[in-house]
Amino acid sequence: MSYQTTKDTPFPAKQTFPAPKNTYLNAASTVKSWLLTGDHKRIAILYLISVSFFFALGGLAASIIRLELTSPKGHFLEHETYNKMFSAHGIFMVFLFLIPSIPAVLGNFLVPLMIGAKDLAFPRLNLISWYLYTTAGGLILLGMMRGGVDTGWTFYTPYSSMYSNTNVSLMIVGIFIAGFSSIATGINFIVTIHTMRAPGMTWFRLPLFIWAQYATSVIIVLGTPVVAITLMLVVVERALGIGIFSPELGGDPVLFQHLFWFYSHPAVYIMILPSMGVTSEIISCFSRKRIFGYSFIAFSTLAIAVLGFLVWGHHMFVTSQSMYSSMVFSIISFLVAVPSAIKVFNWTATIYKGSVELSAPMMYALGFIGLFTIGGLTGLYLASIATDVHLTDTYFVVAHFHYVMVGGALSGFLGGIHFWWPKITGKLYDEGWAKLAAGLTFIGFNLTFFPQFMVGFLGMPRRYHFYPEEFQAYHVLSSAGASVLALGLIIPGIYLTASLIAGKQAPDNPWMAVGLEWMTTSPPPTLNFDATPIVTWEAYDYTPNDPEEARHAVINPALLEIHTGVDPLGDGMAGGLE
Amino acid sequence: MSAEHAETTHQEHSHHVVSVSELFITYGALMGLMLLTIAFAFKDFGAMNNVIAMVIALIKATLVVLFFMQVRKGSKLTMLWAAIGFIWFLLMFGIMSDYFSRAWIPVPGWESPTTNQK
Amino acid sequence: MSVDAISTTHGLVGHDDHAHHDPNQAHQFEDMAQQNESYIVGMWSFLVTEIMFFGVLFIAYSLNRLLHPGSFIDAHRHLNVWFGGINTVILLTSSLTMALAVRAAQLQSKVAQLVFLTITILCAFGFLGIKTVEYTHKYHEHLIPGANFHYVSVGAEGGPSAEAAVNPEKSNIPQGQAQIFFLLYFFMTGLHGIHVVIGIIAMTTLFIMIKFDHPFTRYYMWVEMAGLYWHFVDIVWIFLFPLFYLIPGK
Repeated sequence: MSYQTTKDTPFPAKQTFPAPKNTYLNAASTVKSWLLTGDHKRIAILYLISVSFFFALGGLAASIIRLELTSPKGHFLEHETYNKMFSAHGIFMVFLFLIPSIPAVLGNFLVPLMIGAKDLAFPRLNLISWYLYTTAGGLILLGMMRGGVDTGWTFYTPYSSMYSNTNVSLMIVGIFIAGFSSIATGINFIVTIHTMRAPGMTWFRLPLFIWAQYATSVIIVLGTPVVAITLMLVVVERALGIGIFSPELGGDPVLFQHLFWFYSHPAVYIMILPSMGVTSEIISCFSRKRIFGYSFIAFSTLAIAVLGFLVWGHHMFVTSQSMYSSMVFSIISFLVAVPSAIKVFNWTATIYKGSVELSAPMMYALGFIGLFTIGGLTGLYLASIATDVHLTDTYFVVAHFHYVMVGGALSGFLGGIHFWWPKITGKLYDEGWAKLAAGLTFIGFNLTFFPQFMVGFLGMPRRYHFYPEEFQAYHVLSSAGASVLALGLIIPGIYLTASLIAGKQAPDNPWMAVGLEWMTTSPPPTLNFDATPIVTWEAYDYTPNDPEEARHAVINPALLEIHTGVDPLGDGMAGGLE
Repeated sequence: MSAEHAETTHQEHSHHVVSVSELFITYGALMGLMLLTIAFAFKDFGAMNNVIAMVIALIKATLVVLFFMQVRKGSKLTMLWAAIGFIWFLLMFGIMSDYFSRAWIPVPGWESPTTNQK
Repeated sequence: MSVDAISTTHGLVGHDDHAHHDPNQAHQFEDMAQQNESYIVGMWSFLVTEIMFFGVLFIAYSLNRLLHPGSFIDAHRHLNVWFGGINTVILLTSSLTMALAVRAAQLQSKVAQLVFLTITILCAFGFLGIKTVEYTHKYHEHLIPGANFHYVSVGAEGGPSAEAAVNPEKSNIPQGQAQIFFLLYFFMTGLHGIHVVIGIIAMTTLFIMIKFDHPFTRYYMWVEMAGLYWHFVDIVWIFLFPLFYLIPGK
């Protein structure tokens, strides 16, 4: 009754799987069928391509910055070019990569699959979202080609509104449109998760990835309009010479910072919450254990989303912000640590006594936990008013938010891409290269950003390319680490592409995971499931302590048989369930 | 099962059609409140003027939401989202707390918070 | 755990028996109840983004009024409370007719839908007409923010203030602060006006489709969603009116 497995490869070695006949990928192959698709899976692929493109551009800008910083006297770039370079890096990475990365790629692909729906609630809105994104990307690219901006991604006034004579307005219009692209995705997810869950898929049977997407969407819907209209006010100020944010004309520049961070601090949680969702999925699957404290993780997700809206003022401790406000913001910022810590402890407890399999996605997920913990804990230094006055606008801040955004959000994104790659493409990638890349990313990342904590603590301000010579060692170390990190990010690009061409066909459920998305073919058919699934089991229904037993428990033998023609149980029960 | 279910809910929804009198009463109340707010604006109540104007506006908005937009008969989910919109709108006014509290009793050494804006 | 138990607990059991498939139902939904709920919640979450959108401007308004109360009192005298008042009446009336149009759509009454949509659209045009008159006045008074902006105070009675009567070039409030007031006025009423225009486009489209019995309009939800949107536009004006036209003080 059982098929032969080894611990690391659930499927018999050298076993091949026939490709499923009807998938979303081969449903139609014209360019038009892709560009006018309503299928959430195809839109996810479109997003994956465009997001990767802008990630590469942002990475290029980062490489130039790191190259420039190897020398204390700035040998390569003019002052203004350097300013434009870090602005380009920030704008590409924040607005065109980090914010849409997991929601628009993995979320788009997985939300309907995980809740057992045929598609998102509004497929056309979903497609419009991608077109808005590409329009925004095009405008921002145009702005870059016309000379870029030198304001940094934060567009602080009155510099951006009164003084900078770079392409601020064009960039802002681009970011405005990008905002509406994410609002469209957010509304779609909220409605889909509320109304389109399969029969039996109660809120507390939802995978935590869905909870994370839901919380993220709520933040997007509530926050993005704020920054959109605030930036539009900057454009109007520039065009008409009015000073809502300029003190000499009667306005208040601190108001800009308030409004900007009212969105942009929660935006950090837009970046990190989906990664936390991915991590919950991966950790549970590769520990072969039910996630520890499911409801605690679910509610801490919502708590982070709500508390994240109450802490924006901690970016403004050294402005003229009232010290009473600062104190309140400081205290609430500390409170955010509580739900974050709950998550970290629960993941750790999940791994404890689990049957851990150190696959590539698991390596990314473990990396996420470590890096996020460092990023989160250093955040407490910045949440304390006294230390923040010393650390504001130093490399300590730079290192802190890179630990959260790159170490956290990017690790989660890569982990998720690796975890669901067989489902998305139907192909298996090379596990050896993947593990190597995961290791290189982790090492390279720490080499790049850990020295920045130290040099920041010593007083190196951010956004300068001239610096005292005693800081050079740190910067060279950081740049060396950046090249390792770059290698770790280029390698997946190669082997993942290679897997599309020469990769082996993936089975429906290569990781023996229990989510609904694994119960359809790899890649799934256009309407996701042959029949609407009825959910009768809890999320993460892994049987603990006995990996062999767990593998049997999680697989749905009849389904595997139907979709692949493989008879894993060897009992000749072909076509057992129609 | 689902088609049947849809039919009944669709019917139910059609039966929930709002009554004309309810709409006209709401309309009358809105008009009355508008006249009230104009009347109050021409009297001087000092700082209370703003409060009165905003309270009346809030009442009017609530009437529109509950009766014209039919949130009163809507699902819990609709109520939730209507409420979230309002709550977050108020939450954003937390920004104003900074400006109100700047003039509070200064702590020695904190008289002039640094004014350099980055 | 036996295999049989697994296939039942983890099984996918179809219930795809759409014997009487509603023609209005989109492919991704299981039934009409689900679709209706999705549309309503989707519209509401969109309206929440709109609330936050306008919210920023209300905060900018509040702060600047807090910082420059005198300028706001002085500048608001350039706005005619009767224009604002009539526009409020027009918009409230249009909200009523829109609610009646939604009711007609739920009852699938074609004539009533057409009549009430027509009244609503006419009200919207009336609103925009009065706004155009107001904007034109402001243009002639050089109150459009930008290069041509030139502020002159008016007194409480409507004529030039005592100071300005003596020296018309002189204003008793800083030009920059007056400009902030008028920027907010034009930005907020302008953004609201854009929403009115979008509303007109939506309602006109629906009107034409209902007129020619497009199958689309057999589904009442489209009118209902246009209605939700239109009531939201009304609510924004309910707040804009007292904030700009009714600032009390000397």
